[in-house]
Amino acid sequence: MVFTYITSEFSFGNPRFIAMDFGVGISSLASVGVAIFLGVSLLSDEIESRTVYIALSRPISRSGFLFGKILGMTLILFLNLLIILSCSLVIYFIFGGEWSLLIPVFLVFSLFEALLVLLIVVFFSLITNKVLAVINTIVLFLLGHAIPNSLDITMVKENPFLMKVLKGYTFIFPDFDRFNIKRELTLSQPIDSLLLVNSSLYALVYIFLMLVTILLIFKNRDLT
Amino acid sequence: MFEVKNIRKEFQEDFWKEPFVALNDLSFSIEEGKITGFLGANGAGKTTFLKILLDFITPTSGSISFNNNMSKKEFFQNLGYMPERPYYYEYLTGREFLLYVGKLQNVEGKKLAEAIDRWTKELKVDFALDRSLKSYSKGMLQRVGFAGALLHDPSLVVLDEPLSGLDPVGRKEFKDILVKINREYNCTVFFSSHIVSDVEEVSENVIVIDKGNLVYQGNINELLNQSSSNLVKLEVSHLPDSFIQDNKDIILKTNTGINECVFCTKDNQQKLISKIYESSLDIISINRESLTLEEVVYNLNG
Repeated sequence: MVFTYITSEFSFGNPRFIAMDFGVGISSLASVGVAIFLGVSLLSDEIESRTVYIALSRPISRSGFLFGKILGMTLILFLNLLIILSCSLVIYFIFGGEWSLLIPVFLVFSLFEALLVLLIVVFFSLITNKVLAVINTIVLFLLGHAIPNSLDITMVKENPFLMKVLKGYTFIFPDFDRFNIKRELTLSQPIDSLLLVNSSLYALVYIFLMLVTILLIFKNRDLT
Repeated sequence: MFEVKNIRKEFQEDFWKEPFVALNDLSFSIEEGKITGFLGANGAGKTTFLKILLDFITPTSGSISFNNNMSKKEFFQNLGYMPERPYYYEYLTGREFLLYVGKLQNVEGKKLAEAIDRWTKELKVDFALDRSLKSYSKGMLQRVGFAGALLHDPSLVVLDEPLSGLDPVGRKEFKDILVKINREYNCTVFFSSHIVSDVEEVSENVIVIDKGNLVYQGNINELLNQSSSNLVKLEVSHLPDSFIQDNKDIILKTNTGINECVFCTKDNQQKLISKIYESSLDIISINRESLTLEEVVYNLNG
């Protein structure tokens, strides 16, 4: 809230724009940070410290345990996002900003993004160590934003092979840029509703596939 | 209660190396309503088997089937398990931990509060329930863990080295509770240990494994009877050498100590006693040479 206020004070004439831009940016980044640093310990700590035995030696299935953990973490991410975004919006409204329907859409899309990051870090934490899991997730997050943007670069457009490779990447790996509606929100630009539906479907399908993959790994893993 | 069929577990330590065989074709059954000890030296494969039983790890081959077509879910509903090392959430208090595990077993409300009260008093850990688990000693953690395993009145209790980390008084109390839950609630108890005397004290049946192989399964007394020697030991005061020479056809061996001992077979016992009386010697004691379970298990393991 303080950072949003200070940053908007340095905006020289457009504090509302900066307040919104900085506010949504920091809430999105904070939720991704929370997803990475809590998600990396979500299952791996339970397995390493063997506290997972407490639940799994009782009538709790591995899938129940996993979904319970993910659900709890999703709620934490949602609350975290809601609190930070609300604080940032207070400054935006103080500077005379107006309510937009894109604000709740941004909240949902940021949650999708954070949830995908969470599932990716949980996936890596099950197959590698914690440090590598965090590094791999951050790399995928950065590439997931950078590569879809790079498709608009002239150099890429002029090179069909590179275009295919980069498009192939976005087909397999998560495309986080689909959830980025900051520009539309800060500049109050209209957004295509079909794009919102497509992005939501993409998120739900990707989340489902990640959950199935994680469940398969966790179910078949020896808890020695 | 359950039957183990040809369980084999291999661990691939290194891609290039031969897999390490932790359990090799292990087959045995656990009888309902009995206390069964699971004996084996450190590294014999006891914990590996218990982890397979609890689905923590999957066997390379083999299976475990439960009586009365009990499903795996029903098995877990009726199971009370305590691991070898207490792996608990240290930031919880003893009471919070027991409330958590009680709820995992679908015991709630007044029934859960009563069960916590009853078992923590029985296990003498009720005074520390409002302290966080990180301030507990290992013995206290064992006690609270055992209480957690008993909250839902399980019909099967599986304990991995339950007596390790306990002082002699604690060991006695744990063993008494094992016998109590077995006798009063007809609870089947299956517990692993590498201390033979603990198993001998409370168990009716025993399963002995060595390096992943089954060495013996069955009744402890039968094992002792099978393995006990047929020798009778007679302790005699001031035994002259001439007596041994004269009766060397029936005296199998002698042993010198504060008093001298002669050994004969059970069949020759009366004959030797008569000879001793005829020679006006005093018999101090007559004992059947018997082995402890510890010696039997040691012999079984070669």
